[in-house]
Amino acid sequence: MPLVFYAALLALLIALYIIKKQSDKIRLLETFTQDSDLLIDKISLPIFVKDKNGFYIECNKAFLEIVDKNIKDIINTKNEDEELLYELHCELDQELLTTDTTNYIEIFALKSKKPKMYKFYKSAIKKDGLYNGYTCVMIDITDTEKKENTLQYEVHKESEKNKFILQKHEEERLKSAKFTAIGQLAAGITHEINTPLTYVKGNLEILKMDIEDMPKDITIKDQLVDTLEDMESGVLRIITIINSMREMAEQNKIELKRANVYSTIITSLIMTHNRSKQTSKIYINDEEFQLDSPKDKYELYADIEEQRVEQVWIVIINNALDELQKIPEFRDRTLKISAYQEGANIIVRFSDNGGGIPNEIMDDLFEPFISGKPESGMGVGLSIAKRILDSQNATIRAYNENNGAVFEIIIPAG
Amino acid sequence: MTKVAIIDDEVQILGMIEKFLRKDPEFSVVTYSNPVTALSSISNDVDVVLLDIMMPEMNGLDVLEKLTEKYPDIKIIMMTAYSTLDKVLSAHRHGAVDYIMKPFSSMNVITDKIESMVK
Repeated sequence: MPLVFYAALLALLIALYIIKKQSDKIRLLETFTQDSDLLIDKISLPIFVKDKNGFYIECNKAFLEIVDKNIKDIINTKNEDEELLYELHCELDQELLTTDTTNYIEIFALKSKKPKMYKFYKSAIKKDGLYNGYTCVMIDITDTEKKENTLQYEVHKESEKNKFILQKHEEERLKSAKFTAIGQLAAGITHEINTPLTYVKGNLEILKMDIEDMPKDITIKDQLVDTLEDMESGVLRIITIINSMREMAEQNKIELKRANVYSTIITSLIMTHNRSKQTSKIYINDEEFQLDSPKDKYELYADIEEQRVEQVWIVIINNALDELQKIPEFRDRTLKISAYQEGANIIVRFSDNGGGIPNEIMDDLFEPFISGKPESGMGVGLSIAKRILDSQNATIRAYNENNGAVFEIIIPAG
Repeated sequence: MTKVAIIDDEVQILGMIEKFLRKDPEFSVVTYSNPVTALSSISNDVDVVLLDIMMPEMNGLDVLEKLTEKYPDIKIIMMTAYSTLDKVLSAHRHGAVDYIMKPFSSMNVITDKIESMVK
């Protein structure tokens, strides 16, 4: 009896031990499960687990946040109705039947939230070697994608820009070649037309002089003079058009080079000296101009086309001399030129005391056909001068001051 | 009396300038339509030369160089039918004293320029 009692007691003890062990195991498992729940909740990436039928069996806080639900509303539901592209997801999940992992990028959007782009990393859960569900980690790649898209856009934009620049260069090259050809053609036409125009215009003038010399009692004299004047004005129009055409073509083959603006003024003064010596004293930077005035006394460098800028000075100087000639006494006539650098600009100012520019032409002074000289001017000089200066990135303005005209030219220093 | 030589291959222009200058008894005029003939014929009694820039056979700039070499005191006025002054500026560097653009703004420009040379 006592042996049976001891055996029964031992069996009870063993059973109790086994039960305790089992309950320890269960507690440990519960603790572990709780711990692991805490652990996945600490992960900031959304994670969820689905069984083989597509029902959620587990998820973390981050996932609950993005779907904006409680855990009770998720677990044991498919809850896919709010996922866009649900069917596609299911189709993609089919891959896990044959492979261990899969991943794809999808836009995950809830009706109430702004769509985001996620990469879904899915790993199959196997039981006895058979598919039994999967775990999924979602990584938000919206910003990365955006950056990548921005980068791709930038690359695309840059390459389009380069293509555009290349195309522009090619167009410029063709345009330049075209304008060079037009320029040469225009130069040829100008020369060819100007030659007969010279003797048409000159002979008309001589004829007019001859008619004017005729006795006053010839009745058709006035009529002849009128007719000749009409012809002369037509010829002047042709001359203006020809000159403008040539200048326009010239503008398209501009080659700017660094040069001393002061030297160009001296060259122009030398060129006009034959006329100016009898018309007016000319002062440059407060010194009277002489044929031997040094060309490099001042260094005022700019990127210009020397010869064309010299033409501008010649036009302005000749205009000033035309006006100064109207003053009876040589000693009363003055043309002052100042040339200096001010900051990033070179300023050239021509001031005469020839009475100034008539107000009625002041606003249109740089337009073709506008002239203050009804007898001799063709009204193209200043319009050409302005066009030349425009092409040198320079500006010109005119105003009256101290009973004379002032032409102020500003050229960017180089 | 001022002796003026005109060198231009355009005979109509030669004739026109000659006709105009002859109106004034102060001028005596010789004309040449061929620059080579002009170079060999012009004598040192010529005061002023009106010289066209663009001519066949020999251009005005070459004639200018040879004339100033032969007669350093001769006054040369260039005439050009080009609208820009590029060639005039290089002529100036080779000794031309003045220039006239064709078509002339007025025929009086010719006499004004000649007179200013000989004054």
